[in-house]
Amino acid sequence: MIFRLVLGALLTSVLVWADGGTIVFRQRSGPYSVTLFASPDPLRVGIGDLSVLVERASDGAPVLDAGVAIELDGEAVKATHGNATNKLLYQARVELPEAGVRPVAVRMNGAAVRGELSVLPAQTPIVRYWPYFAVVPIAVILFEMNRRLKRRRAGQRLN
Amino acid sequence: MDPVVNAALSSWNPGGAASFVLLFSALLYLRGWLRGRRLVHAARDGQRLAAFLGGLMLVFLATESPLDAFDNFSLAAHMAQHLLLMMFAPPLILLARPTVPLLRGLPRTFVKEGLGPFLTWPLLRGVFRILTAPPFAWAAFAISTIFWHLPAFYELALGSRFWHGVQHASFFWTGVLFWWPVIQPGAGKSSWAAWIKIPYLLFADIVNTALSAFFVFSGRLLYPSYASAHLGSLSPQDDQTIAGLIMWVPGSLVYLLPAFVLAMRLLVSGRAQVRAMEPVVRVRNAPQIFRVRTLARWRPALQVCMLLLAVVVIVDGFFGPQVTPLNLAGVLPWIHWRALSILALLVVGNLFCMSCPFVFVRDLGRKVLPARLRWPRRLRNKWLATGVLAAYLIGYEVFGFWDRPWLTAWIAAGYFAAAVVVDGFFRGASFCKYVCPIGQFQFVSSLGSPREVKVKRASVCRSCQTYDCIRGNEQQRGCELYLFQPKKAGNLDCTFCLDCVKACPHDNVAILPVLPAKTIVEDPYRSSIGRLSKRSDFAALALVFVFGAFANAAGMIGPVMVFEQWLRMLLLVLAVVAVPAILFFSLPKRFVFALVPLGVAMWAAHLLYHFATGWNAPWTILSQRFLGAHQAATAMIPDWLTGAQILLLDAGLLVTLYVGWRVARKLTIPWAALAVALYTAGIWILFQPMQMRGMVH
Repeated sequence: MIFRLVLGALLTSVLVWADGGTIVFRQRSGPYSVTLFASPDPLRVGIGDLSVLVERASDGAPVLDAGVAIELDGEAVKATHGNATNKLLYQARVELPEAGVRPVAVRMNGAAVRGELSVLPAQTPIVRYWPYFAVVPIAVILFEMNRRLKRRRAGQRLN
Repeated sequence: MDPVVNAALSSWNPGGAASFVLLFSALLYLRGWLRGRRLVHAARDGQRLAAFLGGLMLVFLATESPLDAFDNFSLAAHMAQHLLLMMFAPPLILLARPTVPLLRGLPRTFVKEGLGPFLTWPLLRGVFRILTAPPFAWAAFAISTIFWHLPAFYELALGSRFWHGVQHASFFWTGVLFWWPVIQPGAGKSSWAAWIKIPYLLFADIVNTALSAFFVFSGRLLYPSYASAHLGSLSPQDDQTIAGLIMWVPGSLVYLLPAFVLAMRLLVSGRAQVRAMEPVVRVRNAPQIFRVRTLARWRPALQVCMLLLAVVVIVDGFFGPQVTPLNLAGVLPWIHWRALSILALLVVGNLFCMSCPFVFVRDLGRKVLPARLRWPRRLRNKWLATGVLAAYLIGYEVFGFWDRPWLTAWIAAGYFAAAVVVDGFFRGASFCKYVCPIGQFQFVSSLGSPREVKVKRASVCRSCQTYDCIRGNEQQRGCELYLFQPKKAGNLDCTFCLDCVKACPHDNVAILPVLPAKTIVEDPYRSSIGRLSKRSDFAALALVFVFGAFANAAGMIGPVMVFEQWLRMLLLVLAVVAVPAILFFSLPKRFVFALVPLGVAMWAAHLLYHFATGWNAPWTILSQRFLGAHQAATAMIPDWLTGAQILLLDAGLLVTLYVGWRVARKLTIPWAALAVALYTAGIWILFQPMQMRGMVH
């Protein structure tokens, strides 16, 4: 627990995320090489970020003008550079309503690649936001330590 | 420019948690640095400021720039990022000798009472000495560097946001530990000989060289992730070689240059060394960052701006489309003004009352109306205003003010009329003090404000014979709310009009920093108010404020809306029976005020939600009107919002617990239980899907 609290404190100071998320698959389709990233890791029920990197298979140059759509459970969502931090990626926010393994397809310029997304059940808010809830007990503990230290210092002065 | 290069260079990600922490650190250092400069001027303090800001800028580059966006695709980009975090940013930050300026930037009482016992705690000092001793600092740095570059752990970081964050945090903090004994930014001399630093740096360079040589010459791809995600024609193996070279050449220079400089220093004469280390210090006069009197002169301009906005709201409310997301009256007052005014209260002070447009119009009306009557004695309390505030909060839900632009326009117009009529016939600021529900809301909120209009030196007031701050003089009226500055405590009833600042002939009144909620703990005698523990009307006002915060937010969530009728009845019963019973017959009134910080936090968390989800609504409306766009404002909930709301409630609960403990002592537990119950209710409300306001969803 203490280890996690220390980590939490460190993370609030320097918190950095990888962009795009973790790789779901990398496949070749026609003239393209397509990599699908998912974030958060692991994906959970709720909102998920899916990012796609499209490259020319011949020389690995990123393709920035492909019309990319991500199809999840038969519903297509357009992915764009607009929301992506890494502007070489196409990003879409998708609703993940249920846990389980879900088929996913990425379509662009007539080509398509298919794979699967593994979605875990949603976390309870307490688990998801535990570092924020930990602030209060930590502050109370520090306050009590502060009082004890002051009392000890006052005692030392008297002696 | 090549579109790929253009896309790469535009991949910035500012605005995350790291940006916030960096900005906060910069402001804190700057504040402490400015405070320090008022006392003494050291020869190198400009360089130190530049070093600190430069160090933070490097952390920003590492964590929010395209380097971060590409670290999953390129080991070279990732290595450059690590280099900035470990080898460049920490020494720059430490060269700024940050401890004293950062502590000076914090409120003095917090440093003395809050941090003081920890800073002087022998155990903590001992741990710190061990951490910054050369053997430990060197080992921590070397282990962190090697550990995180082992393929298993590097892959772990690449595959998990959490571990990636831990990796970067450990690089940065072990970097700080490593550079600490070299730079020695703390007070006092190190017990280690100065020459130790030279082998210390050289051995670190050996580790760095060995690791980077392994990257360059290993001949195999160390991290398979880069084989599946890489960009362009550069092979992952070449990328790894470049990463190794980045680590090798600039990395080695970072160790070798300081080692060389230290060696040269040891060789120069002791006399020159002493001269170089001697700080050039001269006493300076305190520079004025901004003058409160200047701010006071700008008040009419602020009021005119707010008046123009009010006119726009009224006109659009009456004549614009009666659809909330398409009307400025459905957006500006309920989303922007409410959120910004409470956030301003938490950061600066009662800026809304300072820029109040109603008072501006009232002042114009007084050029015609007599304003000679005295406000009726029976009404010289907060009961009327509390009733109006309660009615306003209930009416907000029952009549849906926010969802009826024409009603909002009527309320605003009625407000102007009421201000002119009341203060047109009665002396002083009777409307602000005894009627205005917005004013009462601001007054109670401002108990948690970090600034207060107060006297600079009590001794000046003791020798004052004219009392211009309350009586006024030929050029300037005195306080219209009858707050006598030497006896004023806290922000209650203070509109930040700054009349007292302008009237004081001794320039002895200013906006000064105070500890939030301090006056709730102490319950001092307050000018024109007395002690809060003897004022049932103020306690009732505080109760309406606190419970109004929770009721107002609860009224917008699904589970509560289903049982709305029943809850309204319950609220009514509470208002009519329970509250007066508590106020007159039961617990001491002071305890009610302990809940105010939690109430402020709940209001702020709730209003922040509407602001964060609908801040762009006015631009959408204006673009529709003037540019012919056809899209209504769409609700987007930013990722940071829930965390920020919880932190606000955390802060409110902590201050409430502290104040309750100071006030109640032996009766702390029941009050703490009530506060925790309210906090829990607040958290539950925040986690429910909340009704969007002023936008399409």
